[in-house]
Amino acid sequence: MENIEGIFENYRTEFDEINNKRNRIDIARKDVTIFSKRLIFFLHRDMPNQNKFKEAQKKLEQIHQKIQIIADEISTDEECFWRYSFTISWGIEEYIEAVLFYYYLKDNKLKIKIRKKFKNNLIFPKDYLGGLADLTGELMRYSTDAVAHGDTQTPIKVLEAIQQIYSLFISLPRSAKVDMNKLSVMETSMKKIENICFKIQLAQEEFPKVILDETLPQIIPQKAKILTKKRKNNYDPQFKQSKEQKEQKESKEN
Amino acid sequence: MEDVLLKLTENFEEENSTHEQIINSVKEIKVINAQIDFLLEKIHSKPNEMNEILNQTKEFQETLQQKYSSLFDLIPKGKYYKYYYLWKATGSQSVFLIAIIHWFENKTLITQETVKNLFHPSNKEDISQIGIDLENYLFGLIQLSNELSRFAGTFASHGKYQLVQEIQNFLNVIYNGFKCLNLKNDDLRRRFDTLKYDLKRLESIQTDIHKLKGFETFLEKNFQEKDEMEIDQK
Repeated sequence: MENIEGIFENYRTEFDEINNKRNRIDIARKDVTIFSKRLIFFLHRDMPNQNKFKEAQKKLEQIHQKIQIIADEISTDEECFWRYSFTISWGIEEYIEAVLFYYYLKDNKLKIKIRKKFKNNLIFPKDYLGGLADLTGELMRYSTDAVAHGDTQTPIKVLEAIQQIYSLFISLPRSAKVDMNKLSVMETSMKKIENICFKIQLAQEEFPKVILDETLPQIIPQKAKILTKKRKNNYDPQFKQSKEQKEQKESKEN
Repeated sequence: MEDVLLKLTENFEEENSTHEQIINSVKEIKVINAQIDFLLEKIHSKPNEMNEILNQTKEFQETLQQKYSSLFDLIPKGKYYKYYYLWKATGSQSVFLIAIIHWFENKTLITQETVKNLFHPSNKEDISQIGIDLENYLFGLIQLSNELSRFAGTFASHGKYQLVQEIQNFLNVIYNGFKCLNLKNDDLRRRFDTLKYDLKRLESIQTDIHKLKGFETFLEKNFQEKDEMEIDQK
């Protein structure tokens, strides 16, 4: 009975080790989720392509460093991973989403396989599927954005990718225990894009493309016009030059 | 795309089969847990037959050991914590039952090592199997103290004051032991908070017993004096 406190002190050291490790992994995991979210928002922003992917690559490496911290923490044995798998999988899902979105924009193609970057296998099918399901939401946002800027081609491409993902999810066995919430969200976003594609097709049938391009500026309300002008100002070098010339002329006249 | 699907399907099917096997063996363990619990419940009403009841549990303890060894054999190597959540509560329940029987027999605290030696995989030298985990063990101890405080009440009502005193000493030891740990703000800490109420309950039982004893002695004294006075008057 007297040595009970000694026994509990041994338990304490064991307990503290576990908790400290969990803390360190948790911090790294939070960083992974934050950086991944930032990368996705960054990819949604409009930018000239070359600079965009250079910077995105940098951000991706930042995430890889953080994941490496987790990988080092659990490098001792596999048991360790499963003890903390619940905390880790949140971050990994977000990371998968960001990486897949990045590769989709870069190669204009859905990339299913990811190269093994880390010594320990951190990416498990369940987390991977979670990331893949979340990806469809980002793709939907991306394509609706593109339509708003007058790009009628991307939604058709994106639709193909989303349908591919959806078919994968549907054909999974019951034992996969797919998150039904995610599946229904995926379905709604897929239907949204299907609807958009249908409307674009209708519009193109009714107005041949040449006429559409000519009449579009008149149809679009004033606000949208300003927006498109701004866009051109920023990213179209020719437009920028001509505008600068105009301004110079005006200043000379004055 | 198709070969990815095939791989995933294989993976999930395999996982699912081990998952189901573990669930089934946990169900069997739960049945035996309930049987031991049923026997221990008898002690509340018949504390005089305690030793016989404890002997009856021996048989179930052995089957429990067998069931645990078959459960640990099912868990694939290196994936102990993957399936841990399936039998976490059942494991701590078993720890509690074993610990309370151990206390009734020896009046000491069972250590994690002895529990580990009781419940082990069929190959005892297999170090890769973790067996009963520290968390399991600590949860079991808290359940033990909850139940013992209830036992203290029933023992007191049967007039077994010596046992109540022993339980109080034992719970104080456990409480001091838990205070050595750096508990996080999680489930274990919340359960640990219930220990305080167990101690409080025991203290109130003790004060009641003291009051009762004091009153009895007071009555005895007074009546004796009265009797003596009556005799004197005569």
